[in-house]
Amino acid sequence: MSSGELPDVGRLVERSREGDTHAFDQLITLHRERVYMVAYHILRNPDEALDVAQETFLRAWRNLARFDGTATLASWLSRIATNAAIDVVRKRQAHPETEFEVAPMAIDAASHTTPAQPARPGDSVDRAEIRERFERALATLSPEHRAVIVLKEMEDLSYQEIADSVGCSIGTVMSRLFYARKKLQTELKDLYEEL
Amino acid sequence: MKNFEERYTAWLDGVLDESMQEEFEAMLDAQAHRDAAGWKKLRGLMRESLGPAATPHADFINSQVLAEIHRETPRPKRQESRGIFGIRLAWAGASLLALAIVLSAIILPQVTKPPTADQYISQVIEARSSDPTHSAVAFEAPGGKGAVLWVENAGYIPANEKIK
Repeated sequence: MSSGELPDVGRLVERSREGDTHAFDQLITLHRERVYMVAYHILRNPDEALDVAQETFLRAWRNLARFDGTATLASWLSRIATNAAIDVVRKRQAHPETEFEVAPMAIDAASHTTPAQPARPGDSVDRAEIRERFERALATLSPEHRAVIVLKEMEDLSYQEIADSVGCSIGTVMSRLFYARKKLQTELKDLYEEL
Repeated sequence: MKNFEERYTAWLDGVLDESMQEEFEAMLDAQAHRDAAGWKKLRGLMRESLGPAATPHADFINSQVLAEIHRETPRPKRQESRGIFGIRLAWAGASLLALAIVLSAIILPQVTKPPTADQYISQVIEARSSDPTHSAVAFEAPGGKGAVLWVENAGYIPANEKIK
């Protein structure tokens, strides 16, 4: 096992490999928050994130023999979760009717109320609207770009940890971060220019 | 780092080597510096707005995963159990058979044992008839070889007179 892991995780992994479900239960408890977080930040949907978290641990159980300890167990699980979440996003994109709506809604000029719209400079925008703006902007990113930006910005993982999680090189992680940040800045320029 | 994007990302995240940092910053124009400042504001807003992902019903993950693992895991073949069960069944059957034999040996002889001759004669004599003309006399043959029952004026022994 890599250094930095809890000292008994290696034993739990060994016992789990031998079919000890009680040991695996403890591993789930140790890592479920992180796995859920990875899934949720990519999917932005708590129910889907729960499904992906469960699927992650099932895949881990079935493939424990492949875990060789070169990365930490947490990174390995994050990678499985990331791949599983990206699969869900790709399925969503294949069925556009379920895709999160990103296009602004048309406004009736005579309407006194407006749906959520990009805020105009100078207007105060409440927290819920800001959140929605971020959700929409993240939805415009590819699953791979979304994964690296949320793992970096929301969970402050290192480039190496992100690379282990998504299964690419550090250079690729850094390039994807560059483009994802540029795109989000373009989508949300009005938000940060107010600050 | 191979290209501009990687160096820019490292610079933005503050992980560029000091020597490379100065050199890189010198390359950037004013707009790039404004973009970098803008991103830092946006990042702060993003973290504030999206927040940490608290796990709802965390224990549910454990229970669902373990339930599925148990469903997927084949049960071990119970050959040994079947063998033990068979032996126990055979012993139970043998015990029941032995008990049946013992009970048969004890009960059946008592049920089928015929009454002694003395019992027959005494029972007949003890029988009562409502008709005063009926009589019964028992004679024992000499030498104890037999007994004669002389019944007078009774054409038959009624069926309801049981010989007990």
